[in-house]
Amino acid sequence: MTARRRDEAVSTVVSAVLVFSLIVVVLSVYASTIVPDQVANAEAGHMRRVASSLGDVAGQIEGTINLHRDGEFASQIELGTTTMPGLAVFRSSGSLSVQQDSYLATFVCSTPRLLARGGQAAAGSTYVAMGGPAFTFSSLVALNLKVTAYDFNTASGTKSATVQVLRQGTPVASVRLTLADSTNSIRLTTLDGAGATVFTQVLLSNVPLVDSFVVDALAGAYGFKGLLGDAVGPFTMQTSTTTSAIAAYAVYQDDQGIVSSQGQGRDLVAQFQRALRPSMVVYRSDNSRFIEQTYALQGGALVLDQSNGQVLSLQPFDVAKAPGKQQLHLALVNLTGVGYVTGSQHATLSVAVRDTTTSVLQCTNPSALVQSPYPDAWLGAWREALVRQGLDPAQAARSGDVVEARLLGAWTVVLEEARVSVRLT
Amino acid sequence: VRRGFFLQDRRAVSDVIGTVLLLGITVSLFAVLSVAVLSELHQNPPPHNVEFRVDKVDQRTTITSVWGEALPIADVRLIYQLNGVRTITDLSDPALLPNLVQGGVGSTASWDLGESLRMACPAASTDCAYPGRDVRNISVVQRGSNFVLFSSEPGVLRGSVVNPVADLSVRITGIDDPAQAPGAPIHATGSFVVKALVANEGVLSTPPAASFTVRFYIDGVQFFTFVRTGPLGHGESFTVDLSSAPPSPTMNRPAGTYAIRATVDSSVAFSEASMANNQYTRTLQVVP
Repeated sequence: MTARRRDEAVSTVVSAVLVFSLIVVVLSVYASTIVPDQVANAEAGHMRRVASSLGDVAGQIEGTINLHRDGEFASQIELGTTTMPGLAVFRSSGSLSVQQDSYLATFVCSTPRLLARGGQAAAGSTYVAMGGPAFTFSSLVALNLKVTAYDFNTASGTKSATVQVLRQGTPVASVRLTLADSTNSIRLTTLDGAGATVFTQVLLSNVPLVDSFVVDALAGAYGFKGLLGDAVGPFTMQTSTTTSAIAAYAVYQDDQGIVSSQGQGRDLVAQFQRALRPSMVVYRSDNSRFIEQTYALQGGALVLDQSNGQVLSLQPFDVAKAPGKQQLHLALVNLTGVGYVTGSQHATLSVAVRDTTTSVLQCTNPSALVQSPYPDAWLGAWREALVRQGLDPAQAARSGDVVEARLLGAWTVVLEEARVSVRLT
Repeated sequence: VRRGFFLQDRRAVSDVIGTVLLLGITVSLFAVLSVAVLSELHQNPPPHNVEFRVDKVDQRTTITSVWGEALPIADVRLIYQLNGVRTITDLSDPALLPNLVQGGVGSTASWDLGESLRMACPAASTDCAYPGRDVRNISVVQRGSNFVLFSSEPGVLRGSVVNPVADLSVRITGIDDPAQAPGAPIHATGSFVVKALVANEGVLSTPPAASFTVRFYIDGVQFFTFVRTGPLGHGESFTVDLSSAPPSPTMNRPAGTYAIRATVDSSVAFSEASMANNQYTRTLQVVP
């Protein structure tokens, strides 16, 4: 009886051991193969969201600058991930901080000539007489009309000059300056593509005998830019004149995206220079399975740094080339702020963009220098940008943590500047 | 009492040893099983978490690693359209590898962050894989598992699996009496023509040197064959139209229902992603 009972007990023990072993093995296989992959995927997904969030912030800063307006916005950054249900032990974390004085950006423009600033033709520019050859453009940056040295008392009748914009030969809009001798007045008229009047106003009456009068034709109240905005480029601009006393100065983008001008800009001092030492917003991951990543918002750029390389996810410059023309589009963002947040929760990154300006310059041998903890990212971005345009990549070089792009020849530089303050909570 | 105690103790030791042995044997067996399962799992590793960016400026096409893990060069295969022809090349191929611009940080055995593969450039340049040629619709595929890691081709999603071979399909698009208007019934004493669309739905072109045959059957009896020579590219198709090869076959069968079947490459001249779409059957109603 005793032996029989013992046999039954062994059978139970064997079953229990088998079940226990099966559970152990299944859990072991799950923990050693499935879980690491899931954790790695969860962390990779989190890093994609961080990249997307910071990319959105950088994009919003850039968009605000391009619109030439102040702006404020806030974005939530997910510092870590807890997306593994029931496996909080695999939670990853990260830190978001503002680091001071860790980045230097310098831009130097030799023999500078200012074509436009803040969306208007540069004050003091040389204006050209109307009636020149038509030119094609994709967007108009600045259009100034100028009346100079016109003697209302001695000239007789009514003089007018029209700047007409056509799209594929069809008029889109025109703006006309009319000088009326009888009333000593200057009238501005905006016409739509059908020739109907959109805006008309006497801008000035009783003009002194000899005077200079400038109209920013793109001012919102005149309706000219609004009509232009309804159509899609490329446009052709042609001008007519009845008097050389009415002149025009236009800064425009051609269909290659190159900024050019009709008329001459204003000479600046011998060298135009900007030097910034902004702060940078840095996110550092603390992952358990996926590769560690560091993201840095650095002067309009978004840098990604990993153990296997660095890259500019968003670069604050662009190089374009057309026959006889080279253009550099560069954003200099002076970022300031404070804050340090760490953990797995969300952090809020509040951003305020102020004092946005755009300057269109003509430069000889411009140079852009960056001193950064991520020089490989900057060097790679500069060289790829130059190679894509068929330019010599050796124009960008690295020395230690300094990367300098010394661009050779005559360049048109569109320089975007802004102050950005950030706060982390 | 003391002797009885030792006897009981010996029995207990025997039970424990037995249990431990059973446990050891079972764990060992399951360990062997788990090793087998693990090795099987590692044969199909999950897709690498990577992102790429394709820049196409004028005649230059570059693909750059912009996010994620280092990608072992031996694991990478690229599928792309080269001057309109679907092409598949391993990154380790001498045609591509010298054009991978590697930085100083990562390993030379991997495609690291920020490193660019220069695919196309102007004809006068030599710093790319295909000077003067057009490269587009680039997909980066993980060798072995054939996971798509990245694709610039519309509709091709990350994580999907591509089978890098051709895939012929055939579909009967019309059965008509050449003497009647299209759609008119086929008469028992009349003749008939068949139109079939043959398409390559696979990732790659059919082999350039291979030919394949389109066969037509009525109730299992072959009545027409067409041999296609030369490659059929990805997404390309052609129509086999019996009316262009007179005389048209005569029905010469009593009224009733017949099965018209078309097959393509039924002899399997080359490997395909699927043979299920290599035949198509359509019912034909023949009137008196």
